[in-house]
Amino acid sequence: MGAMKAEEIKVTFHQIGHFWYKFSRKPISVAGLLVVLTVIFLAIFADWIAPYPDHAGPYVNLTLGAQPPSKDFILGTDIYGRDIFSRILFAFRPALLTGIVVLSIVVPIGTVLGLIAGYYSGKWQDTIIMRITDVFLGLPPLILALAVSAVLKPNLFNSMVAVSIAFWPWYARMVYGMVASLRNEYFVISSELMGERKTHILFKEILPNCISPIFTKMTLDFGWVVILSASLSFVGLGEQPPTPALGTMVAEGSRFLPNQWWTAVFPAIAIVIMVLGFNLLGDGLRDALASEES
Amino acid sequence: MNQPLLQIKELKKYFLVEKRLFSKSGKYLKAVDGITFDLNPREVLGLVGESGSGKSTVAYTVAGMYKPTSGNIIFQGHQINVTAVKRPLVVKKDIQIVFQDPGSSLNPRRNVRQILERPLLLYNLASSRNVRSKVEELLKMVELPREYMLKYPGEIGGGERQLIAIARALASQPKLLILDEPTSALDVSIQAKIINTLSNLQKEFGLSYLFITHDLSLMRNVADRVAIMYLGKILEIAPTLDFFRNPLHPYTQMLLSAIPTIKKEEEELKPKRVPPTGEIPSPVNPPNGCRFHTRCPLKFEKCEIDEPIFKEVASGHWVSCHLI
Amino acid sequence: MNEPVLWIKDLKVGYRIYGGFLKVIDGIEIKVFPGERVGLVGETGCGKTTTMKAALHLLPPNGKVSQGQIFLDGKEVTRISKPELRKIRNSGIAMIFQDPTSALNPVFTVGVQLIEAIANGREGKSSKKENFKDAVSILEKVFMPDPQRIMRNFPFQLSGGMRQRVCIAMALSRAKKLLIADEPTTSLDVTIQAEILDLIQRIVIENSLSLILITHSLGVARQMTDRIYVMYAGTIVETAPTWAIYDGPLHPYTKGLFDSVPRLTGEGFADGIPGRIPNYLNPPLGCRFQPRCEQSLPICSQKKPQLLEISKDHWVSCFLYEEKRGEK
Repeated sequence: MGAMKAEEIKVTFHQIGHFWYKFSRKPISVAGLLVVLTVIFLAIFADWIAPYPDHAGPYVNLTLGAQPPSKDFILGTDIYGRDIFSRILFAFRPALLTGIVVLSIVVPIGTVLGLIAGYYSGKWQDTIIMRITDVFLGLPPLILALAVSAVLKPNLFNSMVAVSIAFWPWYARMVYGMVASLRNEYFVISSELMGERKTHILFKEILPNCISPIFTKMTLDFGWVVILSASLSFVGLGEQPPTPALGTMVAEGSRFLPNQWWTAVFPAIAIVIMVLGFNLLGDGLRDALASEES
Repeated sequence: MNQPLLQIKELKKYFLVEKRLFSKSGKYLKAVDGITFDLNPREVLGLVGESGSGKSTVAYTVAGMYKPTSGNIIFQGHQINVTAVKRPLVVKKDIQIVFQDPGSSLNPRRNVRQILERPLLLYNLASSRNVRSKVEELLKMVELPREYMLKYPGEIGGGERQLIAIARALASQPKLLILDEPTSALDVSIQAKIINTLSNLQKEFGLSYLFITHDLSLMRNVADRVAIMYLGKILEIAPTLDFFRNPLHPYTQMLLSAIPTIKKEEEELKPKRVPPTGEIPSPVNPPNGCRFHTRCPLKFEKCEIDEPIFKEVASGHWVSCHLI
Repeated sequence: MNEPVLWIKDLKVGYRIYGGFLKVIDGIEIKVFPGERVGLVGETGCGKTTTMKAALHLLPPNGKVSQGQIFLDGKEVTRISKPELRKIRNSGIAMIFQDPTSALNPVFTVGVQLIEAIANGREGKSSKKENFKDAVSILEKVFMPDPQRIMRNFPFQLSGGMRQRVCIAMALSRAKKLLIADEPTTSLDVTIQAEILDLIQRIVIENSLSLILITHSLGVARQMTDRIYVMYAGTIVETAPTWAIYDGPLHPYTKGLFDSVPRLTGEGFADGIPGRIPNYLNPPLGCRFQPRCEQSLPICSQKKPQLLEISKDHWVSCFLYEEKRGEK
């Protein structure tokens, strides 16, 4: 008995190894993965890596304000004299946190709704769920997020709520499309005829066939979530100062373009690198998973 | 014990094709239009027909995918005119189906062990502790190696997938197995193994098969009785030997005369070549009178107006034709 | 003057894929003479379609003829330029495919497609009226009821059998020497199949065409051919006049196939052939059938057997018979 279980674990490892082999065929995907891992690493260990960790809090030293990049301050200082490099490292935290929290909420809810609507495609469950989804899909995500944020008190948690509300319908729709076609496959019909419970059919038969596209979308969406939340903090609706957030840093620094360009440009580049990393990783995942199917 | 396992009485299944707004009526596709037959325990009944005959619809309705439009399905003495989800668990267990396409009848994301476990656990035929050894027994039953438990459907060939589908169907120890063209998608060298395995299992476990195929030569070797369908009706039903040696209905003769054969001895067994005339009509607008009259070389006036009665003309041999 | 219409000599064809090269066709030889009806019989994956595609330059971009020669009507066409290819395509060879639905363009009427086929087959220009007349007359030749109305129909409005008739009509407009039919009736009902096969038979005889019929059905091949080539895993394992093969197949694979076919006589059938076709990435070095062969000798896994004449015009590629010949 234990022998079979060991065999199955071996098979799983083999599958992971095979998947890594396919993923690593495209160097740029691996680059994306490295960027993401680096950002995560920097965010976790910011306290130790940042040269001036206390600059990420209520610190002011106007004599050092708006210094260009130098030996002491790699990316320069902002108007309040705070080291931009250190603040960027700490600003990765709310960005990553938002991504993780939002996706942890949005993906399960959207997936479950999509599963139900797709399975009952054509019936009332489908109509109710998908019409509500359509309403939300009709509104541009950024506008929706802004509107929600404006109503709630501006803080990090509420900005996550706003982004979540803007995002869930995309998962519902994607999963709906997949499930609506899968539910007529003979293996699903076989399960129904055997008398399996609906929960088993939805989560154990249909869902495993949707995991790959969901996973890919999650990775690509991480970039979107970062941009969306940076947009919110750009207009002051996210993480409040003095806690560093990439969008806020860009907003503060944009007042001083083009002379003290480094105050806006470097945080913006940080956003770009982060989003790019997730996008390349997501693309790589999609390619590796797609080639599996053929 | 003389009761038939399955009794089908005047079964009809219509599908709505067009519906006029605000009106109950509409155009219907009459896939099955009133058929009656019995299936006995330990018997293999072959259902033969071309496209549009309704044979698959019969299979799916008996299996519980569709609810009959009218008529009766009586299984072991009890009426089961509802879809599978509404049937009692014990009936679900006793009626199983194997589909034509081995590619889509197994979940590509589940390995063989996980696939074969389901019926065992669902019908309480194994506990979570001994289910693995029961799965091994199932694999042995279809002569597949134990190592296949770890394989995914994508890793094994079409014939082997069908064997897994068969093992899954027989895991619940059913009384009736419906086979919808189980080997039509497979090469002949693989088909042979599957069919022989099915035959052996049928005899060993005393199962009844409702075997659907368009391949008459296969039917000749597999079925105890054969029924031939055309546009939703059964035109002829007879014990196999009778059916092939003494086909009475013109359509049966036409089909038999068109079979490609590989030995001279087979050619001599075929009726004289009857070239068909015209195309198969659509099941949405079946012809009046006898369904087959538009293509029948022997038709006369009555055939266009009156539908012939399905009657027994020899022991166990029923035909629906004005000529007889 | 008995030059073959098509001569495939020592052909090797493969496909470049991610991870290597699929060595599918492993040195085959096929000759089709004028007026001859040849059957290419084999199961899924044996390479019969690949062979024909290679002969007609219809291989996909990753397909490659790695060895061998192809002669059409005496001219070598293995590696030719595009303009030459166009001339060849007009030289009187036509092909019918397995699925008539995908062979016809769903957005054009039958008439438009048929006329296009006719016009392309001509040298120089022709008037619309001429083309239309020719199209209708070809439809009549394939016994299409009400040809004028059919010309206006779209493919989806026709049944499978009628679509295949249209494809045959299109092929007929081009075929002056050779007609290749790739599983032309597999997707059709038995009664329609019989009609279509009859039709192909008539057309071939009336127009003095050669025929290559690709099929996995032994019954269909027996009915329609004078000579049979049995293919397995990219090799020809046996070839002989049709009556000879059906009288007494020699190669273990052919025998296995025959034993597996259900017969109308009701005597049951054998258990098929165990195993699967080889992996073309790493095919067996010796006989490709050896892994599945119950009569294999030690030499079978080491060397490739050659196609040898065992009895009059009956060729088999198998060491079992090489030995016997040697003993004589």
